Amino acid sequence: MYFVKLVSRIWMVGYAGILIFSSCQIDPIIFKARDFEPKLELKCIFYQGDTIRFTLTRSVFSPFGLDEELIYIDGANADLFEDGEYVGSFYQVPCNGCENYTYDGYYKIDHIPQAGRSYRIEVSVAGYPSIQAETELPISGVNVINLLVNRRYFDVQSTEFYDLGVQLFDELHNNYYLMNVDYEGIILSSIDNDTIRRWVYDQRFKVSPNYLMNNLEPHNGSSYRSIVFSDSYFSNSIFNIELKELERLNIDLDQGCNAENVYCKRLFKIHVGNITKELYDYLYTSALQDINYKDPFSEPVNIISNIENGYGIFAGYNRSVYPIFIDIP
Amino acid sequence: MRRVYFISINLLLTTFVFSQPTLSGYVRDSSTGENLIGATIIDSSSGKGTVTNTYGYYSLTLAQDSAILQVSYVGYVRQTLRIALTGSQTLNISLQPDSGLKEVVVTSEETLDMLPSMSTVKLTVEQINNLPATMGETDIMKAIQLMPGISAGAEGSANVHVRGGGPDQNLTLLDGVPLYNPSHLYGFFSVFNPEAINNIEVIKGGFPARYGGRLSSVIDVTMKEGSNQSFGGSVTVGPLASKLSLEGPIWKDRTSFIVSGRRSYIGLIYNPFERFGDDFDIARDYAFYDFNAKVNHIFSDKSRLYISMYQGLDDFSSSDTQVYSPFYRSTDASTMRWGNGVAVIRWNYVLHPKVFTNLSVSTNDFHFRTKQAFTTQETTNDVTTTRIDQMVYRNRITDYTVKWDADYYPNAIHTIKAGASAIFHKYAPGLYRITQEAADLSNGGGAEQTDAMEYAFFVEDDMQLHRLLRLNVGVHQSIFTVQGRTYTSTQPRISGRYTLTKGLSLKASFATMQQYNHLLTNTGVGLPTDLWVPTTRDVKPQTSEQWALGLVRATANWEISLEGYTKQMDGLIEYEEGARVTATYEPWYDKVTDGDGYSRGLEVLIQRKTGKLTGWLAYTLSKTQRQFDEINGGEPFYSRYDRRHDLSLTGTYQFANKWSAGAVWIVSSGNRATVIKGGTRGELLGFPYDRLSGIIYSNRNAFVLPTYHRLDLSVQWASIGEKLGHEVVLGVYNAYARENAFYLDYQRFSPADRIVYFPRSLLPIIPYMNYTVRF
Repeated sequence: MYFVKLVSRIWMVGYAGILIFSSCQIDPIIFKARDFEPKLELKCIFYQGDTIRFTLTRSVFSPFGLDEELIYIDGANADLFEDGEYVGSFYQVPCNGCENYTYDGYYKIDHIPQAGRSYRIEVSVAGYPSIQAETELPISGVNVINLLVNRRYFDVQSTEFYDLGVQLFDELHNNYYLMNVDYEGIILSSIDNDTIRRWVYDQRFKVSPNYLMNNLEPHNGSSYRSIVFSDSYFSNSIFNIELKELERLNIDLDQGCNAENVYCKRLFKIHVGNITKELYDYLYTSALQDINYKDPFSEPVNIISNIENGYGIFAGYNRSVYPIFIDIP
Repeated sequence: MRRVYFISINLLLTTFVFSQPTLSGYVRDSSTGENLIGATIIDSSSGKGTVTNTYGYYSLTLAQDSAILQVSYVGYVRQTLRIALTGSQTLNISLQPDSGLKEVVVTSEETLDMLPSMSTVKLTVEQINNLPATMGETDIMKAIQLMPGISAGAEGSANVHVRGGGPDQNLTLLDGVPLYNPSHLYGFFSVFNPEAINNIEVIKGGFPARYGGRLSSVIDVTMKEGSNQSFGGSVTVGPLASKLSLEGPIWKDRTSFIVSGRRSYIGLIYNPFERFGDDFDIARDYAFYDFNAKVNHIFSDKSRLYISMYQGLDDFSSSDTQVYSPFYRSTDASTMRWGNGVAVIRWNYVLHPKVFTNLSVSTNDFHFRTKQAFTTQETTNDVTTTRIDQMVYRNRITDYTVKWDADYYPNAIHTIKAGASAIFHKYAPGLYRITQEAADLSNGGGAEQTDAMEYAFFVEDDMQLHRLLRLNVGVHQSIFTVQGRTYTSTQPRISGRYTLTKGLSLKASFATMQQYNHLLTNTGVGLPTDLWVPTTRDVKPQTSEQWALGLVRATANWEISLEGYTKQMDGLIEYEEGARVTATYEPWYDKVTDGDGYSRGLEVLIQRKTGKLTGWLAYTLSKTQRQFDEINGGEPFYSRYDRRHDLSLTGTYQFANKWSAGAVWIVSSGNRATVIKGGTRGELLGFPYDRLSGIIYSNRNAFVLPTYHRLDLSVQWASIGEKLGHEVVLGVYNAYARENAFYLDYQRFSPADRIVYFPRSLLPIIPYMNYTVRF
């Protein structure tokens, strides 16, 4: 009897130990796809003077799982309304030379949007919750009133840098803006536009907040290509912004440019225009996700979408283009 | 006639009150002369009693000819004194330490009514020393976390979260002066060296009116004064740090000192990982230290002066050097340094046997500085050019304080406290300077320095209205001026205890609090990059309102308490979604948003106080939520500090005079996290600047990590000789090597049908050994 009690006590202690030690290691935490309910994702930015086009996909379960197929949605019913009135239905864009095929999830409507008007889109697809979104094509009030080349210098690796100054004016208030700078190459009188386009390299610039001179930090609405900001940075309708460290890479300075050529300049193009708050929020939070993903001390943020019951963006952008020509010494 | 009648009544009352004999004086340790805080003095014949104040002073007015005083204090032999009350007299009482049984708590039936007030926890240094230590370092804050209603923010953290509050909502006092960052090593250890500490009291609710400026708790730590009888000290050697403490009389019975220091040698752990090669060199170093010093002088029974100071520092450095060629090399170096400094002068003066006053002048400072420098050296034609790009970031908060308070003991029924203070705050929350020699660029910015004045006034009355009913009623008034704006707050406080039967009491309390400082943190770990910022013109103060109700059953051996609370908080600030903490160029006020929150809970404490086996079981069931319009789409979300269940089981067993063992077992709901639940990858036509991939996150803090549980064990051997005493402690942290999740690591390229997170743990099983010699 004593032996039985002893064995049972040892067994209980051992069993308790097994229970305890078996919980020491933590298994990975797994969320299964079968619990995932995808929604439609619509992406559309339209401009003045151009037709409205959008892509339609569905959200994915694993945002970085490259072996998960991105599903484009075909056969959707999509209607456009302008100022509350029905304009027409989108159609899937036919593929040139593909006969009966269309581009995956690519829709278009032959209607030119007008500045100052509101637009609503309604999309329905079997098997998914219907989505809709409203926006407007804002009237562009912003003007670039001054463009300056503030500085040109080289770093230790002989990479060429430019600091440009841009002065914006907008007498309207409660506005949001999008700006990006493209480098168009070297403009030579004897070189045609096709050559110029071949010389357009990877367009990069940094409105790097670390180096802004005026301590007013526009919200960097894109990781490295464009910025979005609001007029809270405007003083008496004017905003001075320095686009610093515009970096040129892989340009052969000697190619096609010599002292005899009187029209030898670098061409930068500044695109700037008014956007809606929906697009501002979308681009801003999208850029934050990109920047913060690698930062363990940042707060996670969801991309703000104006698509009801879905994801993506439906917004208008009224832009103007301003060239800057820079002499090459 | 009415005026005469009024004056007569007053004179009569005054005469009556002041004609009753008053016993007053100090209660001290007989061997060291240290004042004993919270010692109870009870007259057995009348049942009236009092407790000593923060300076060991008591005053007891009795309306009789004689008294039989029972004087008791934890860890000391109770003393009984028969006193003839022929008139008011000064009676200083010395208690002898209980050197035999090492019972942690000794409480008599008569002193049960004098037990700590509602929502209050008192710990002794001996209790703390008997508990297993984290990595060999006995820590006051870690011990406090074992109490109900108090939790740690993350694994190994010394930060405390009291009833759902943030780490900034604790008024941590060292000799009456607030400490802003009471932790070392990224929050793993507190700054308190147990060798220098005399008393610890934690108040979670029912705050007396004398405290203000924080919403969730008061952690009142008092330093030792040093023996004014004989010299002594101790040396402790542990796995991560060593401590030295010295105390003794400068002038026997009048002037004493205590100095205590601690220094880590964690850098020695880094050294094996330093790598040297022909073309690279990596170096790391880290160290922290604490230094406490105190001198006190007794001018007379009426007058005493204390001067105390604390200085602590953490210093981290890292350097990576790459040699590309004989002509070009680069060095990437960073340093991080942060620390606290406190200095205070206090003067006690007994104005009258019934009136004890204290005047103190103090300064406290917390500073943090980080510097990152990228240096290149290029040699061309025997000329070496050095270029340095560097960024320096610093934040600092400094207070200068004058405070006066008085304790008035008109009779055995009332203890009235009143006081006033003025604090000048200097905030420098995040200033940076960047220089780039290559670009000939230098700029700086961040939030400008902000100065503020804070005034506070309080009055409170602790009343034994009836032998069954005790009340503490008071009001705390504060005024805060900053950037041309003034905030005022009138904060009523009330707490009470009703004795249902002997040893069974019903307690209730209500308190409003207002806080003018905010700590911006988003990790829950306690990094020095956590930012103390002020209330400003645009950022409101935090406020809270807390109700609590409890039942306590106490005997000489056991205490069982059940307490429920509800706390509403407003004016909370958090980093807004997407805020980048490390984006130092953005001032903090551009990265925050405000909201409110609540916390509700039920706390159970079962404590065995005497015998060979002592310890406690603490359980908390609670829920803490926040609501911010600009976070989580405006929907309520769980606070990072929300722990649905939290259980601590603590025990100490005294085998014999020399051997003892301790164990701590903690089980709690896991931390909260925000997880990925999907993504988007559609293309935006005609707009090349859009990111193709987007992440869909869950609601903020919606996911609960796996349950946290951990067992710590220790065995202690102590031998006290005539001249030297030796203590050896062997212990193990996380005895069964539980891999408690510290954070979730997302597996980026997981299979298409699942999202996989790997919980990463921080602290594995850690054995340790400490050796202490006392002389």
